[in-house]
Amino acid sequence: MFALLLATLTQSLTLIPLALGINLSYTILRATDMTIDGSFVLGAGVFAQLVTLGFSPYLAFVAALVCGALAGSFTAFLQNGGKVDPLLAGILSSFILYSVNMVVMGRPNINLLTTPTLFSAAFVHSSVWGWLSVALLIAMIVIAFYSVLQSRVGLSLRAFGDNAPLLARQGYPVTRLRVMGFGLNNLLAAASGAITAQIIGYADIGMGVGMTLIGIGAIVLGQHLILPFIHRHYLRAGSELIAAFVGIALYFFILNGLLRLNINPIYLKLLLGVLLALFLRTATQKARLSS
Amino acid sequence: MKQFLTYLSLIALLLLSACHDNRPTDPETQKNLQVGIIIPIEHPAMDEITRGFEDTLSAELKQKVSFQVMRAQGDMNLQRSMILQLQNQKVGLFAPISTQTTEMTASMVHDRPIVGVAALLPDSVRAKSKLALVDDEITPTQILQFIHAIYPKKTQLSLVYSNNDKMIPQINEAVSAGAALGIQVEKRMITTLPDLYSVAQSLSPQTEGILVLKDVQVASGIATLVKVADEKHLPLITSDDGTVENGAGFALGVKEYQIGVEGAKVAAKILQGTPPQDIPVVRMTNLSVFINPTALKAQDQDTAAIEKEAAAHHYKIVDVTNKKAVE
Repeated sequence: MFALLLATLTQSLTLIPLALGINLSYTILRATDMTIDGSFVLGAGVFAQLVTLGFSPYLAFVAALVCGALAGSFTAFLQNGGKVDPLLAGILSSFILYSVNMVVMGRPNINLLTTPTLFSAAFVHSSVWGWLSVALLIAMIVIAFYSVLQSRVGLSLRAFGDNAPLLARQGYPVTRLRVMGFGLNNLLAAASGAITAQIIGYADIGMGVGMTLIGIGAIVLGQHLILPFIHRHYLRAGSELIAAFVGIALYFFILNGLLRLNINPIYLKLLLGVLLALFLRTATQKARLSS
Repeated sequence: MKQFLTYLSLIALLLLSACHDNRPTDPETQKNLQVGIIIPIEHPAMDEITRGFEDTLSAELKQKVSFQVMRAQGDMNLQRSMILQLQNQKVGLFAPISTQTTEMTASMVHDRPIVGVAALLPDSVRAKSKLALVDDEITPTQILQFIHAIYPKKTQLSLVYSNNDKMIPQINEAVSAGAALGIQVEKRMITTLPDLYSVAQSLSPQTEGILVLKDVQVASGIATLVKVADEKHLPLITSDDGTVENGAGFALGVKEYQIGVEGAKVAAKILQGTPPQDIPVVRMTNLSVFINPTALKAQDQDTAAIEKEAAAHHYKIVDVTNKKAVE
């Protein structure tokens, strides 16, 4: 049981920024941003390439975040003025990012096993120190993100997701808000990619495939478990974050649990999908009953 | 109430799985040495490597061995979960197949030996972990020299490859080796399998043959290249037996089973006490030429010329249509 919880915790930890990013796009901006599949790899690729070239891991991490934000801004730029549908814009960006990532990385896989990273010194000391340093960085990202959500900018982003045309009529800079929102969610995805690359020991061109869908599935799961019990509006931002943590942890708990039951991996996604569908079905029934 | 019951039943199911101890319950199996094999993607070549590894390691060791074979289905998160699970199961040795799987295992496992099968990593990585490697690649120079010996007049070949990390240095070597032999190597890269059709249709009209190095992604779509090779009467030359069985003309390579055999020999040495770092990277030397006479006929190629050169190079000739060595 302890081993399962530990595996769940360590796997979830690196994907928390990704879950926050998807939470921002899916729940707050009300858009399914497929750019994340590409910006996750972009973050990993930029970080890996820069540290391999001898740059400081701190500088490489900041560069990865900036590149992620730029990728998100590009998606927002495609949407601005209603020219391209948000889903299509995300798919287009993700498509373009495949080539961009190849150019950035120069090869499909960059090995980080012997390169100094943000956590390598801590992991050399001990695994506990290593994971504590990862947790510290994640905590800093979560606190910064929560502060943004609670600020005036965060409230504007929420209003943008709720009713962008109304906001535009009231004279708010909707275009800028879209760029900020999509930039921020892809910055978080890039952070997750850069952290994951350091933990698994490499950045790979194919490591982002399906990340958006895993994230959305996990968030939906977490929200249906947590949000029905939170009724106070001022707790909304905090409860959404907790829902994202719970969702991503539950995803890996179920994945590891099914593996421990020796279920053939071919059926894992089918079973995960059925479990998710069961959660969603009960939640929908409850919503119908209450209305 | 209904929602509560559903949640309750799902959580109960999860707790049940969490409490389930998936270590072997049979006392005999518990006494056995546990070896974890991690397969990144479902592919017949991976199964052959695994079979060679299991057969040989069981035969090499006096102790009984139990194999935990994990198939990650191309999913990075799943692969990570599997490595963590094998760690918790206290397996005595890890045998990841492919470079990427070996990288992930080496990053996560520090206290147990690892034999990276069909993998190649820098020496600096080996120095930092308990890692031994079996490199399955034949140099592109060897392949191009063999092709040049069969077809001395050919001056242009199309090399179809995927953007796999192992491929890039090999492609560069193939271009250089071709240039040294007076063969212009036209590079054609695919990023996804559906790209293969477009690439196959857009080969240079001057090309005199299609070459595929050892590449799982291109091998998966070999039928597309077979069709083009048959239509244009071009030799389709590959680097593994599976693609020749599926319609390529001939290949210079090694049997996948043999890669597993070499991996198991390394694993046996480690389990008998040799430190992994002291074992040099194993390279495949026992080369075979796999031929498919039916496919060669469809591609308008001379089987006898290939067999003659294979014999001159002391390569074993394997006719894949009747699955036996003819020489």
